[in-house]
Amino acid sequence: MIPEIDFLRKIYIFQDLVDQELEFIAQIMTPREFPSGELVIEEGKQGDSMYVIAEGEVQVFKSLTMKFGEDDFRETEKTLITLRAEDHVVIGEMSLITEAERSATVTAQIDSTLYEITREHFLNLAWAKPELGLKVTLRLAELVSQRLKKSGEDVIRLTTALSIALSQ
Amino acid sequence: MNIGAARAFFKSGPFPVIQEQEHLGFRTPARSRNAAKRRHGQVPSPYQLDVETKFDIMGHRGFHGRDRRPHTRDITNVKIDLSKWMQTYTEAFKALQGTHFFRVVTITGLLIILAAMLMFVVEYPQEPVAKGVWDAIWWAIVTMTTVGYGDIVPKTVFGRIIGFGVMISGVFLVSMMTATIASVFVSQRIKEGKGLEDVRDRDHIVVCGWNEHGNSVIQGLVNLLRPRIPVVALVNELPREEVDAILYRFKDIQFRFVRGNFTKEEILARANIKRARAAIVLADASGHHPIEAADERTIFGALAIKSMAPKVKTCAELRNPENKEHLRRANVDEIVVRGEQNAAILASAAAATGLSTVMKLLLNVEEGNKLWRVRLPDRFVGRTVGDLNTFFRDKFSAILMAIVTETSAIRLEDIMSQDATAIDDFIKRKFEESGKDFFSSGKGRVSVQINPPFDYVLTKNDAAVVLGRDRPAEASLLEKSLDFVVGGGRSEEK
Repeated sequence: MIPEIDFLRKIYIFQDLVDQELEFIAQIMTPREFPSGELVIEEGKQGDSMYVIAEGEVQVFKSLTMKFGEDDFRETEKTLITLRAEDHVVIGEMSLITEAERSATVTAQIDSTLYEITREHFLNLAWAKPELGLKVTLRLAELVSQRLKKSGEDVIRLTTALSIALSQ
Repeated sequence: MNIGAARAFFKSGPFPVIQEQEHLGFRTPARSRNAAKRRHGQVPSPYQLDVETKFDIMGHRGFHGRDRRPHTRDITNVKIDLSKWMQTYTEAFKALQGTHFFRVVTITGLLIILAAMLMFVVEYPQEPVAKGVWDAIWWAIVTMTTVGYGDIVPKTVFGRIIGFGVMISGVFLVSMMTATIASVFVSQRIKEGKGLEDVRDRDHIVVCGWNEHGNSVIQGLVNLLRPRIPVVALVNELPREEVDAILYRFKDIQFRFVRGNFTKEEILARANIKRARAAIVLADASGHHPIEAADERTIFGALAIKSMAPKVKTCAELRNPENKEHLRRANVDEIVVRGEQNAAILASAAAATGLSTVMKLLLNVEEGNKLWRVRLPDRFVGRTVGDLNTFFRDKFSAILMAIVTETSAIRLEDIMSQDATAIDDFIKRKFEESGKDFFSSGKGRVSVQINPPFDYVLTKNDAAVVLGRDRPAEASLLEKSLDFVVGGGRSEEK
């Protein structure tokens, strides 16, 4: 099962690539099957691959509070989003450039197929085709900066809420 | 403190000044000046001429000039009387809803229709005195109300029997109706006098407790809020005669009276505290409560008010400044300690002749020069205090005393981002889970700058407090064509 070029073009980080470059990307993608309920990635675990939903639907959990010893707030304080293939979103894209802990848990909601790109494959391709690598990396950088801006705003909102809560 | 309470209760601001262009003040020198002129027959000095001329101009601009007042007052009085009557009838109607009045009316109506129909069916074939159904109904009404014109008369035996029934039931039903209406009026009167009637007004002022300064507080309200004096609800345990004396003394005010202990929620609920504009809690000496223990009751009362109606502006009078902290915790908007200003007045009286008199006159709410709070029109936003000062001096002969800056309270929506994110949901949910109200009771901050620096740039949150003979009319402030000269001959845009 090889991803279609038209499908890849709709993905945010690949939007600048030309058809030929998209074919290279398609070649490094490996389809993987996840039966309903199976973990795709787990929050806090190291990861070195990125996923694109080809078929099916996944749920993304992100905990909003820290875990302190026995007091586990994670059970209650979570956000939950359901993502589908039509959303054309990528999951765990940060793993393409850095080896970091996963920031959310993703499980398959129904039997799903996801394309996997490992960091090794991506970096090899990027070094071989620097132009392709630059285009994708720029989009990744854009995503990171957007997210940074948003989390900065979140911090301001939270500190405001905190000071309101404590002022009374 | 009496005046302090009246003043401070007013809109917002922990500053000892007025509100919304209402007045406090001292006697204008105008009267004495005129008197002096008359006495000596002298030519007025340029200053006097200047002032008088301005006064005239302002009069033409729709100012409430002193000479116009009697005329205005007449009109207002007529209006008030009319609305009072309207209100009496509306209230009576509401009161009737609790009685069997409407049931009696319905039964009467049904009986009239039934009797008319029977009468028509029985009479018409033999003696067609009633020409139609409407005539029959007319006959039934005339008979039922015991009027009995006699224009339509039953002639047959059966018709007369029906007529007899209608007459008898009419006597009962009509007298029941009359009695119900009368009893409602009477019981309302009695309840009002006893303070048992519930307050149904909105945007009224609730005055809790009473002491020897109560009359001054009410007088202050009258002077500051004229000509639109709101309904004042008194909540205290004064004996009937004293309440009547208050009601008699302030005939201009529509009073409501609730007899009871204002520290109790049910009493406050009867004063409709939730719909009130403001509440004043006086150090209470009514109903044999010792004035020495008044602070305790003031605190309980203020707590009760703030828990029932957190948004109602509450001003409380204290006797002991040590109790301020309790009231602050109760979120009371204004706290006035009786005698707090005495020290400053006494000290200034000893230090400099006349200073204490100036202070006293400034605090006076009687006729004369008063402090007014004036909302600034938009065109002053971005301009300096210097410009504003010149404007008030030239246009209203008023002195700019202070700038009041009000910043509004934070709302939960202000924290949220435009597109609701997970963090927004989280914050919102957490605040809801806490079960506490962090926002609705949150008050805006009010800060006051006395003698503001001339280079201070005005913002839309600022209001001016000026000392002047008359209220600077908002209409002239907003008048667009008004081109006044500011500073070095620069004229106002627009």
